[in-house]
Amino acid sequence: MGGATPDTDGADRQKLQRDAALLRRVADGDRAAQLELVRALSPRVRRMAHHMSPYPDEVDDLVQEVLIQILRAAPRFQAEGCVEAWADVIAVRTILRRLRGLHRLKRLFVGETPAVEPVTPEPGGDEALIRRRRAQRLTALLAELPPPQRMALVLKVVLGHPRAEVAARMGRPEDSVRYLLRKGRERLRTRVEQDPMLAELLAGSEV
Amino acid sequence: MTDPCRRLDDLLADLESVRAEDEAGRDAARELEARRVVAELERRRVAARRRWIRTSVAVAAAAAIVTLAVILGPERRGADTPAPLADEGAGGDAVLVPLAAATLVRVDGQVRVAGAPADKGDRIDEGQELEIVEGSAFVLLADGSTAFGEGGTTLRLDQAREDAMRMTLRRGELALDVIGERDADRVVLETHHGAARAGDAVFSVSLADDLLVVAVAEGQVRIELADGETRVVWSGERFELRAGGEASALPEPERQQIESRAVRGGEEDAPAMKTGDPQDLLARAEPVVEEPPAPGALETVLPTVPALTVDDLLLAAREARLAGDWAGAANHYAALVEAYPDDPAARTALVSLGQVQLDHLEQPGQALASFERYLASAAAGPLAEEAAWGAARALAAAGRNDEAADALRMYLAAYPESLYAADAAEQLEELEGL
Repeated sequence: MGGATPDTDGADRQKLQRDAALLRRVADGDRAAQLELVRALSPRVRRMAHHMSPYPDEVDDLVQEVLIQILRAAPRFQAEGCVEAWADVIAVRTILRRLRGLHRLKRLFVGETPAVEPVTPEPGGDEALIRRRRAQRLTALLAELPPPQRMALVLKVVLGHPRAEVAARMGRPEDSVRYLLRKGRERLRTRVEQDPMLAELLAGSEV
Repeated sequence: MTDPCRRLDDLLADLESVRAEDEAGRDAARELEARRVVAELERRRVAARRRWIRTSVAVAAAAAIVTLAVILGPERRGADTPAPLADEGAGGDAVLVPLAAATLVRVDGQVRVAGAPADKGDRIDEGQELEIVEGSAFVLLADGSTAFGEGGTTLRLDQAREDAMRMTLRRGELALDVIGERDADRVVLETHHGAARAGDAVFSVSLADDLLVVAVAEGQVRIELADGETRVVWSGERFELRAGGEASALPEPERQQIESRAVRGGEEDAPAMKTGDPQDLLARAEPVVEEPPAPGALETVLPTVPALTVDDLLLAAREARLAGDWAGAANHYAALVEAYPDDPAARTALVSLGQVQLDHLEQPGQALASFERYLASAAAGPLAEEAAWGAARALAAAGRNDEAADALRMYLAAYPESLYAADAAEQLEELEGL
């Protein structure tokens, strides 16, 4: 089970005790505890699902499925680490599994791949709007990466986890994560360099 | 000039800022989501409890019927009067809360549920029919499996449980991604030609008046034909049953990738097809108890293997696979290869043998020999792609990383459109990173 994670060193003992007590109540079917846990974990699950899914329409369903899996896994929670790290491990596995299923089904049946719409630069346009459109464009390019590379980049760069934590959450050795990050960056950079809106940012010109 | 890699990371890090801004002020929606999650969990628990109740009631009813039958004796019951089914005696379903069998996750086009227009998020209850009039629909089944259908497809959700689904495909084509255990009947899809049963598999079922096609991309699908005969279609294989009872391998089509994969499966004679009411199939859709080969029977016959035909050996191998007797299956395939080396079935058996050795017997060296033997005899054969993929995996499993990487590169060059291409590329990257 994902209780033992390396990022729990130094965590507040009281928080660990509170987490363990909460998870016990969840395991006992306490509805208020379930709501409390879902409220606490929903934002980080949504962050991960949002950045990982190449299908925006599927994000809500992904979030719901991950949270249900977390609630169902509560009886197996071991109070050896913080609940967030434990939940992240479940989230990573659930998201990767669901995305693999979605992707292969769509590819199998309709050849559908996530659409990457071309975006042209809009000099002089509203800065916030341009920033948002750039983010959409980068998200679409990120979605083209193989899921393990994407997951490593999302956890490390987008969400800011240290590499050791990324490795723990993905259940891979650190060397493997280092490799995924390197390949992911290479691929993404190549795509960004070919993008009319994003290439200039990579080259260092002003936003 | 800033380091481009650093700038790329900055761009990526900004994604979360943008998302957080978008998310701001949506507390109410998030609270609703939290309540929905807890409600959904409860719904699934109720479903599980309901399943337990139904099973208990059915078992109790069956026990009562048996007891009654013993007490009354056959002479007290009309000779032509069939014993009532356990479910009929249970009578408990009527008071149970109907379970949503599936949820429409995505709708692109026109879809109807129980005759009424439906859209994303709508539920499909047990007994209701989903009709995809035009476009396509993506469905999350109650057990967590998923289904995808296009216009012209009609599906009835017969029974939904947290760990099993039973449906009837009236017409059209359905692609299924079934979760669960490989040997379990997680999803049962009935048609008027027969029923497809699977666990942990990806496959499609296409149904027309005179044609049933089952194509398997991953895992295995067990097909129970209308006359009770059972077939197993393995990953990469395709089963076709035409009206008139002819089962055949498909011609190389320009259709879906999965369907273009060369298969064997038309080598057996298909049984005469019976076109019956799907309800008939549904009524007898409990797993068929198949007689395994008598213990030791085949072993004692093997010294006189020529007495066994190709079909005998294939059938024995398939039954062994079905029963999870992987060593037995390997023995039968090996016997076939040795007894009939010039028969085309022996060549294809090499690939099946290699897959069993690699995936179930942890014998990568022997698996490699089987795959290479196939490639040596049929480099352009219909299963060359599977054999090449198997050989690369066997090399990796044997720890021969450099050779595995070379084999994967050659595989990707030869079969860039393969269903396994993504897996091969990922495995190659990992090997290159070692």
